[in-house]
Amino acid sequence: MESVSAFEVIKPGVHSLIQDLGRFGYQHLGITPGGPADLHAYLWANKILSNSSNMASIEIHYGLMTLKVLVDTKIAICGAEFGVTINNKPVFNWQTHHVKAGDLIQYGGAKAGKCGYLAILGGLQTEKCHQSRSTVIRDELSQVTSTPVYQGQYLPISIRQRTETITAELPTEVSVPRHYIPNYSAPLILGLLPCYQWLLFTSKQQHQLLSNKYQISTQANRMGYQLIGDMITDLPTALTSEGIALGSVQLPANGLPIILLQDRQTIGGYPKAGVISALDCGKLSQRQQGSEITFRLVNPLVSRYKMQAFKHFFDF
Amino acid sequence: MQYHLEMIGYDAILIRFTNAGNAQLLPVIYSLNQQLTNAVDLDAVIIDIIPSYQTLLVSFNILKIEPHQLVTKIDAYVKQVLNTHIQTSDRTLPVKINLITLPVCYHKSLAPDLESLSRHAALSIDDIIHIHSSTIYSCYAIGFMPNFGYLGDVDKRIQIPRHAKPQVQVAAGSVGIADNQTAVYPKASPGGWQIIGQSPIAVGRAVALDSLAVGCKVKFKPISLDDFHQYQQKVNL
Repeated sequence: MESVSAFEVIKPGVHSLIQDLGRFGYQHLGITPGGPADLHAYLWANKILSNSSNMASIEIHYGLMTLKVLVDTKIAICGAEFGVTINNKPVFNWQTHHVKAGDLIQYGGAKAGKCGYLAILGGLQTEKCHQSRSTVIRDELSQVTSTPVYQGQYLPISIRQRTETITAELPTEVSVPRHYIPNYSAPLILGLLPCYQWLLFTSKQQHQLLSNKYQISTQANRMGYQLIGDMITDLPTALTSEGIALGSVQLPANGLPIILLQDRQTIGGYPKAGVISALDCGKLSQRQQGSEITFRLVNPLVSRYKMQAFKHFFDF
Repeated sequence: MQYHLEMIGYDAILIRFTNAGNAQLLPVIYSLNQQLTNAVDLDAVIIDIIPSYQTLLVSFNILKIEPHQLVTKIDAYVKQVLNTHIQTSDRTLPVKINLITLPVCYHKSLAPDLESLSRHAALSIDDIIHIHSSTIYSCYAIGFMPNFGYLGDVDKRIQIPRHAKPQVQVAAGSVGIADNQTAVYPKASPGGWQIIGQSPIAVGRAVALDSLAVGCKVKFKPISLDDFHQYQQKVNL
């Protein structure tokens, strides 16, 4: 598909990555799926543009990104609150915005939450590797899919998309209904679906995990979130390595949980108490260092119904 | 050979084999992985399969199937594979297994831990090279990073534990030993394995290690430092 540059990156921000839904079907080769840290915000950004759910957008961690718009088009801003301005005029989060060639989109620092999404009509058309545009720095699959957004980079969209934009758009903006806009500063209770080695833990250890108050440590990124709090002692030792599901709650020998996220290793041998849902992974990814985290047991059936409804709604 | 199926969260099923050694299980894991990957009725259902030593983790699309239906289907595949396995007299499955030969240069400039292994094992460096390169290894799992294959079993005489503290940087292509396993680092990375050589083909995003798969066989072929450099030049062209 012929492409045209939609943005010039003036400032890449602290850590900005291209993400689509992720790279599936390659975990047997040790290739991690990647994909949006927060599915909810990522999918809303595509939805309010009437993009399909897999269209690539920019995942902006901690903000401070500046883009120059090179074509007339429409964007959507969702996720963490960065106080975004277009041509120095503050604009609403969780909403679409028509932009024109020459406009300047500027992100401040994160006021609430941690990562935001900037989606564009038709999606970014960066080069794919293994059927996905998702950036996973650690996997080094290709130059494009292992490099964060950088200064001077031109981000492409398809030419066809641009002409459609110019001829068919009315200047109305679409916003996410208020009811669906989360509060990223609220204390977070993660729903634990007990599985893996849950039954190898003593009832005391299980109780500790479910009653401890944890905080997010400095070791928190797209690979995983290390929590700090009271240590659980005398845990089962390392086991034979096995496949690691998204949201696995791993308990290494130091007794502090690590929740494994989108860029996780595909296999590992530490005991795991269970998993949290993909939606909880997204909520966790929006919490900053020091945020309070607790666990409670949830019914897998309820979690599955919720996720099914979510997948139906966003069509993926 | 016993197994059970465990639900992992709401969208994955773990097939776990018990009461069998890794070497005995490998053909079963390999064959089951093939069967599930190629199953026409599961093509739109299964998203990812991660085979490892004693398990396969199958993640699936919850809009395409009810978990209990998938459990029934997977269970039928496991039973079928185990029956074939039991009927085969030599305990190997009638499947074509790839043998991959990887050139390795064991020159001391590329093998920071070869000398200490020589002391640890009380064997000459030539003996270690001979032992390491005359074994045919099986790939039991892939993980840690893309195309990092856990190969076993390393001859008991040259087994050595990992470094107590991981090295900050291990060069791409480095060949390491950790206890009964050996592996090639597909790219530069921090790592704790004892490095006894370097393969010239595993540089950066080279395709050489793409053919690694759980169940395949791997053999190392010793090459000289000159060959190593020539090979690297060819790859980098």
